[in-house]
Amino acid sequence: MTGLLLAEARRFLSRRSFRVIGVLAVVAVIGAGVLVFVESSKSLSASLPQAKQMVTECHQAIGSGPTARIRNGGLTVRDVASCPTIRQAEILFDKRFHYTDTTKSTTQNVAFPLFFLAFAIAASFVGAEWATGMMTTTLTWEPRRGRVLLAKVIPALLILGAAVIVLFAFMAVVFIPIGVFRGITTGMTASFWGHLAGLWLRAALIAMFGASLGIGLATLARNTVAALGIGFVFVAILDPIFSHLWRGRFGPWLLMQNLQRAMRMPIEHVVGHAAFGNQVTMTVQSATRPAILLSIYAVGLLAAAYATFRARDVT
Amino acid sequence: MRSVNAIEVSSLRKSFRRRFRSEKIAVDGLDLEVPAGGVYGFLGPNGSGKTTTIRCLLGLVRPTDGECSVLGSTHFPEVVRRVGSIVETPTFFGGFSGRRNLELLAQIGEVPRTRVDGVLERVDLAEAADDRVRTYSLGMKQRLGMAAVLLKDPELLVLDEPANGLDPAGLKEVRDLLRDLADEGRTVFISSHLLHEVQLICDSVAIMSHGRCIAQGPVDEVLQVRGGNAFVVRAPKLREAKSVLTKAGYPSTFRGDQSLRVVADVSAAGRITKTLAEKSIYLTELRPEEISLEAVFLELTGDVS
Ligand SMILES: Nc1ncnc2c1ncn2[C@@H]1O[C@H](COP(=O)(O)OP(=O)(O)OP(=O)(O)O)[C@@H](O)[C@H]1O
Ligand SMILES: [Mg+2]
Repeated sequence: MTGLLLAEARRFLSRRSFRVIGVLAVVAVIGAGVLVFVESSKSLSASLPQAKQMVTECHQAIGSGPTARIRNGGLTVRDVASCPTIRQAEILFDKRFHYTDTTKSTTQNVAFPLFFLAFAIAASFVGAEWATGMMTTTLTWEPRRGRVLLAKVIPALLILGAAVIVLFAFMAVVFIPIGVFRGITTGMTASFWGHLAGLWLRAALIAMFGASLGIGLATLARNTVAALGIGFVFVAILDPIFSHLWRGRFGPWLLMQNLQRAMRMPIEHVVGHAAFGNQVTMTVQSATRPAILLSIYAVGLLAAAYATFRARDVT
Repeated sequence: MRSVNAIEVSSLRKSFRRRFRSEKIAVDGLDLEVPAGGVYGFLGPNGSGKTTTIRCLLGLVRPTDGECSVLGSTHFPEVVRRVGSIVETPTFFGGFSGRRNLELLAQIGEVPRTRVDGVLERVDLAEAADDRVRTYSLGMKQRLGMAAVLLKDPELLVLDEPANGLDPAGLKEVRDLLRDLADEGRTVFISSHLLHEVQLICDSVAIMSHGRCIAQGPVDEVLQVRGGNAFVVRAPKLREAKSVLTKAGYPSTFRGDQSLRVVADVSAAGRITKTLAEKSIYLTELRPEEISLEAVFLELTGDVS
């Protein structure tokens, strides 16, 4: 079994899809870093001209524009609307790179594409083996199918999870000079790093979840394209449709909402009663439930994949 | 208790479900006994169920009915380390070199990696060992498949058309290799269409047709299906020789090439010589008539369909 695991890990690491996507991800981080570096500026005053212009335009609009003369229940527009101060406007146009905020939010957002990439890489890891007929060769060396499946799942999950953490750590490092030379680095406390590391771990777990789905579907379909197709139809069509049906009652059971919750992102939450007009608020909710639910989904799918793999002929 | 047979198949049936159509019966009540040691040929026309039977043996396909036992075990995983196999065209990772592929298999099978070079040498692939498998010719892939089989140092080799795509020199090499392996005491089970090759190396054969076995046993016995043994006799006075032999109880006919076809048991060679010599006819040639497996094969598989 150890031999099989190591062999599968080596196969995985030398897969072209994994290597190409890995290199592209690194290039993307560097490219984004360079762009952001160029676009950002060290001081807040860089946005002063824009801020001044905005405030001036605002005062003109309120003070001398046609709206000023509109009377509405005895109030002038000036009474209900006010223009921001130059200081406030400056913040709106702030061009400084805020290291902690940006790193955190980027990590949260990039976790989703990584989920899909992990899904696709893992699906092709298994799908390609069926397509080439390599599964027959593997099974004549290790006929116990549970082991064969485990030897796909374990290396794929561990390697993809580790790759996600490495990628985010790399991104955090690439962002440091941008913060130092083109922005502010306040807030880099131990608790920030702890929080960030937590996000990396969550993103890694999400990628591992994606990889489980990819392997499960590719094992069921015995084909990469079919697995990707099923995944796409579900995430791009079924998930959004169901999440809006019946006042969002399915949402907590669907993938996207759980992934967002797992990444500590605020999700839409309907409060109040339809008769009084629904109120939609955005709240960050605990990730315990998504963690349990997504684990159950992954294990369930893999168990179904194993049962089918065990029973079906390999021809 | 371990059986003496390397492979035993009893009433094996396999039908495949097909979409929108009736089931396809690939193997239909097959019984097979492959004795340990020697080369066993598994013959049959396209689609007669050879590959399906082999897949059943290797646990790739679940029989609809019946049983297969390999090296005395009905549970293939128990004996996988002792069985080397090729099913149809051997498949490898195209992006890896031949050597790397074998190293990975050695790792999976927990076989010492030091064997890799030896087996590459043995199948004459040492020079191309570091090229990507994608660049290999069909024959080279076939050789790599053989190398992978040898890597396990198996007691039993189950080979589905191992000679497919080999050139004449390659055929001879594989033939010699398989013969050597059998002489080392291993059992070699090969399916093939190359009847001449099979006749040259096999000790026993089974002939399949439409999922059933229509003849099996030692090659000579199977060949006898076509009229028993005969000798080819060449002598100066052919007409006289013919009447002498016929009178002595060996029915003889002219073959049309200045020789006689003499029906007699294999052991009768000495007596034929003596019978003729007593009449002062000294033969110039005496050899068993070759009945080609091909003729038997065509005869047997032809009238079933
Ligand atoms: N997965 C499958 N689904 C449906 N039918 C199948 C399947 N595999 C094999 N068959 C059918 O079973 C029959 C036997 O096939 P098999 O591959 O065992 O033949 P074979 O003797 O190996 O032929 P060949 O000499 O061409 O390799 C064929 O008619 C084939 O169409
Ligand atoms: Mg075949």
